[in-house]
Amino acid sequence: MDGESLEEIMEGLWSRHPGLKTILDDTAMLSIFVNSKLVTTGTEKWDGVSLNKEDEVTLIIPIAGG
Amino acid sequence: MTSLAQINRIILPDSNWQEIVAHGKRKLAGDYLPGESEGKRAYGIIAGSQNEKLLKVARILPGKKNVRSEEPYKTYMDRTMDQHAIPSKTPLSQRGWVIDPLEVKECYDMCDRDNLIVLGTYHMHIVPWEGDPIRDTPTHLDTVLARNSGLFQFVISLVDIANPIIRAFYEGQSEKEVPIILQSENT
Repeated sequence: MDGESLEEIMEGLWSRHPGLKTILDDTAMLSIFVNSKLVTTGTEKWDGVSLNKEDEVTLIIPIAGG
Repeated sequence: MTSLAQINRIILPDSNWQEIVAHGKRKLAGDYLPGESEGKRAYGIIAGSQNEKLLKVARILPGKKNVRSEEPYKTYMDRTMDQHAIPSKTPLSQRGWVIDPLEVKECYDMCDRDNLIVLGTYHMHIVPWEGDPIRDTPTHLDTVLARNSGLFQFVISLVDIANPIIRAFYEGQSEKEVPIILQSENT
């Protein structure tokens, strides 16, 4: 992922796993963890996230109920 | 692996069932853990294993912090409540639970470590409704919130606290109930 922005990574993810988009009513609630630390929630803030080649990225879809 | 949508039985060990009931009763009694969101609401994650069309519950992870009133979740939950919730004793602003993403991450890390999968979530109903005195099925709001989750929604009725009930519905859809088999520890 070196040199790729998060937006580019996500575009790749959506294209490989189109079903992901159907479980996200609102990508503003998608949390991104880098090396197990919560960096931000909300795709609109991802521009400010920089990544290195060895970084482990985890995306967490919110779990909500009544 | 078979999709959870194809599951036809769920094994629930009695110890796990008792954990869920204890969580609900503790919250109802107002006995909160340090840092735990207060209120008469119990929400959590159920993890376990899958063997073809059979699920076996192995771990109960009670939700600790409800971020429902924090942005960006608040906007989504308020809008969803306005559109889909049936007014009840509990104000709309206090209804709903969004698990802290840190807890969700910890849960998935645990599942990876222990070779488990997330089977679904549980929440409790405590107030009888006119025409629905037991409240052991998903509300319309429950169904909306579970839509496309790919998970089971376990509904716990604690309307009669002495006789708790648990039922499981794929993605919170009433027509997609799967029977739960309570398993004693000696079985």
